[in-house]
Amino acid sequence: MTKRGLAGELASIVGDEYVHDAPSEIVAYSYDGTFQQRRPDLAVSPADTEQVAAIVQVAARAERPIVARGASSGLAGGTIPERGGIILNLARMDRIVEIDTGNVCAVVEAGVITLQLQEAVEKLGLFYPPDPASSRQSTLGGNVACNSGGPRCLKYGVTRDYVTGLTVVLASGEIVKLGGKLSKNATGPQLLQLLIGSEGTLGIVTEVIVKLLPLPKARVTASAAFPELTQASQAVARIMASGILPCTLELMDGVTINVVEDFLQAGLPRQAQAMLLLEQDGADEATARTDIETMAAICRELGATSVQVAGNAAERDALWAARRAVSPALGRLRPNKLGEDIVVPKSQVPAMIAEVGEIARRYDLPIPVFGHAGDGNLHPNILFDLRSPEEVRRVELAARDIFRAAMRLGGTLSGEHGIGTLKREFMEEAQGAAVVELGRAIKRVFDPRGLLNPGKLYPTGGGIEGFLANLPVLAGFTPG
Amino acid sequence: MTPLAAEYDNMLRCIRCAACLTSCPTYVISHKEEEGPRGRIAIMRAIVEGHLEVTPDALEHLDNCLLCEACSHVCPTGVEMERLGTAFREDMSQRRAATGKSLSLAERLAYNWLFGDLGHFRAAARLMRFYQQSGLQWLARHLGIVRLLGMRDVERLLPDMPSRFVVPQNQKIGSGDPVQVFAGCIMSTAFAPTAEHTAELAAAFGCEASFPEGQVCCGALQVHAGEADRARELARANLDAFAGEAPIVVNAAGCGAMLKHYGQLLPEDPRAQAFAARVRDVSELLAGRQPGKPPRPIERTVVLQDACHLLHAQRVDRAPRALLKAIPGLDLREMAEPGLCCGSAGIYNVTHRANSDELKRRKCANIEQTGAGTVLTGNPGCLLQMRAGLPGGVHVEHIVDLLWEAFCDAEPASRA
Repeated sequence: MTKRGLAGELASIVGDEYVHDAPSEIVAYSYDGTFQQRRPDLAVSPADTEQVAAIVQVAARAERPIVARGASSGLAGGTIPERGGIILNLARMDRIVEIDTGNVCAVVEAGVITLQLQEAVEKLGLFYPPDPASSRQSTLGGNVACNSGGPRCLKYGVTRDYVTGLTVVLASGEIVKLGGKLSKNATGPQLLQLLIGSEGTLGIVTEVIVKLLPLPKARVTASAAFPELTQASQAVARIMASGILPCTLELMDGVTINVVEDFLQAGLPRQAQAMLLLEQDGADEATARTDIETMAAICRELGATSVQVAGNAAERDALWAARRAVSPALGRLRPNKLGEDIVVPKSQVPAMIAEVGEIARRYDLPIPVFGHAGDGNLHPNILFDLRSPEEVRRVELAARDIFRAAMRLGGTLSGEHGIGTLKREFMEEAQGAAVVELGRAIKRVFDPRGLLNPGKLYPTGGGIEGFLANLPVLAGFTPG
Repeated sequence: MTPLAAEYDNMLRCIRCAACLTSCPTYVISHKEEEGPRGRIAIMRAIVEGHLEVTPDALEHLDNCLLCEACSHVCPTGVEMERLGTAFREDMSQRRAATGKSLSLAERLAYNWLFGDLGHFRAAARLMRFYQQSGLQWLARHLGIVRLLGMRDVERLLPDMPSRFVVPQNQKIGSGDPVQVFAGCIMSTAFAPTAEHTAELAAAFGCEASFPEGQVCCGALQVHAGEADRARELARANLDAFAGEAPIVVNAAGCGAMLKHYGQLLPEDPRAQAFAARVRDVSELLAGRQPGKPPRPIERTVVLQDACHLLHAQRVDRAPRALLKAIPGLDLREMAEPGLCCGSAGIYNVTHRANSDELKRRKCANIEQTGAGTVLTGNPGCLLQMRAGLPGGVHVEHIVDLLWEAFCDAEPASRA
């Protein structure tokens, strides 16, 4: 052991090799998938739950904040070590402990990559539906922390609908297990559900039990391009009222279509103002195809100019590649983007999209919109340049107006990204002061000294004014 | 402006989405952010922005990059990692020079004398053949000299030298559309039969293949070592040697990727861009043409190992597979983690032994799981790495040699 002080104590738990305290290493653990950046004191990569517990005890003794992360690909600032302290890198804990075909569930460590779990269970004819666009890199622990969703959550539900058990390290360093390999559980208050979506503020999830479904045998995908955005919105509403529950109903507006086309050259319709990506799965090809044909007919009726039904797996993959490329491809248009994640009642999607268009004009900002139109979860992305304080001010106002419009329509701040640092100042408006105080009180019970991911989820008191400008970035230009 | 600072816009393309993490060999084996592409970009950016000194830890994490380009391949915003990595190494090389610390004698000898002239390279190769054939190798191995020098694993990577080399002297093979063969230093010596097969294959696909005189090493090793100026000299010599407009055919993925980047290496030379546009991997050239006669059946189970500098740097994966699938009787398998580097990476398997060995083990395990008796690849480094890592029962050969057997060899296969 050559490390001293806090680093030395941590090294005695995980070994020198897994304590990251050199100058360049601290930089490497300073960011997430947004533009924020703040160096931690150090980072540490534990190998198992017991090491996590020991690290938490050291952090508690040293009174250092502790921020757990997986791939740190989050889009809300949830893993930024805003107050320094210790980054707990759970990426090493990437073991699929068990795929239990008898109980139709999987036990995984927190650092398992979502896609790797999906590929592993699909080999056995099983299915783990939640599919965040980042599934290639996101971890199950991160998915639980943010209650992640994804396109097919329209039909299948989000992360919380699949988690039946958690192993959690509490702020005291105690290891507790919640739930189990159980399909039903009415035993006491559902603390398990409380942990899901708590963004590492109540405890550190180290192991997850998820239930699985049988893998649908057939999947049919189609796309429909519309000359007008409102036509697409109407098509979404009509489909949802038609008695069909599609697996996926994704929407891209015209700006998004062109950015993706620049990037992929996949032959997307550049003239269109909106595109829908429709997918249905089912026990057999015929059933899925019948639903897709019905949806395609609705799209044509409402003015879709080109409707394409993928004939084979390659065509389907091409349609999906376009959707998955959206978020990163937008990064090419302007130096920075603020990816919002509002959710409104399904029937309000057309109204919400119209509101975003109005806000984009009001503040003279490009705000492409895409998202999961079928479940009312939209991602208006405000594109800007962090180097221009005047522009940042307009972005703050645009974000505020988008949140307020969503709330006015019966919606809320986040559908699947979480609150982190980016939306916390709006929590009182979204939930009411009493509910926010209830949340804070629960946090105090779990983490009386406020060491677990401090500052996240709840308003700082700094107010809405300057909520973006006040976020930490390294001096210099920080894209993201 | 330093070479690294000149790549600032390239760094800024990173939006920190983390899509690269699971593609990166060093991240996959370490799970450390500082050993992944996103971390390396953040470190380089912090250096350029002045938030970070080039501390030994920074140097180590950046130097651990294999420059395999897997991350660039999956990057949704188009970060070019090899450019960043080589710019950083050039920066370091310039700093070393500025502080009066220069390369070791061995390094200077390698970069300037050995790789500077194919004649020198052939002389060294002949020396190695003497070492292998004279009994010196046997003696050195059995007396433990090799182990004593800590060279046992490295020495195992050395190829067996053939008795004759390909010396580019404008010799021509076949008739038809002209193509120029880039012979390469290692390919024209240690793999001289493969170099000959490359020209004969081009001829079998209706080409007149020539080996232009005056050609030199591609410069990839020099660029990766930060000696870009040395590479530029070599590139200029190649621009001179490969006059005309004929396609330039290459049988080593690393060289092909370098030659395709001459436009970037010599931005001020108008010939470089045109040269780069003529470069084709041998599989690209052949897959776009028709053979004179149908291939002979080959009853073998094979797996193709994608060289990183073919799959990621050149984005060539369909062409070699299309050629192999045209051979009757050939059972082409696919391995798990096909895009993960085998750890060879130029001279990485000599300079970074621990990482390289771990990647080698992983690649070889993935290969063995396919049950294939033959591994094919399009790059000499990968070939030697897998020969060192796989058990004797698994045969490793250059894809060109198998294609030659199918499309050129009149005799039945000697190997079942």
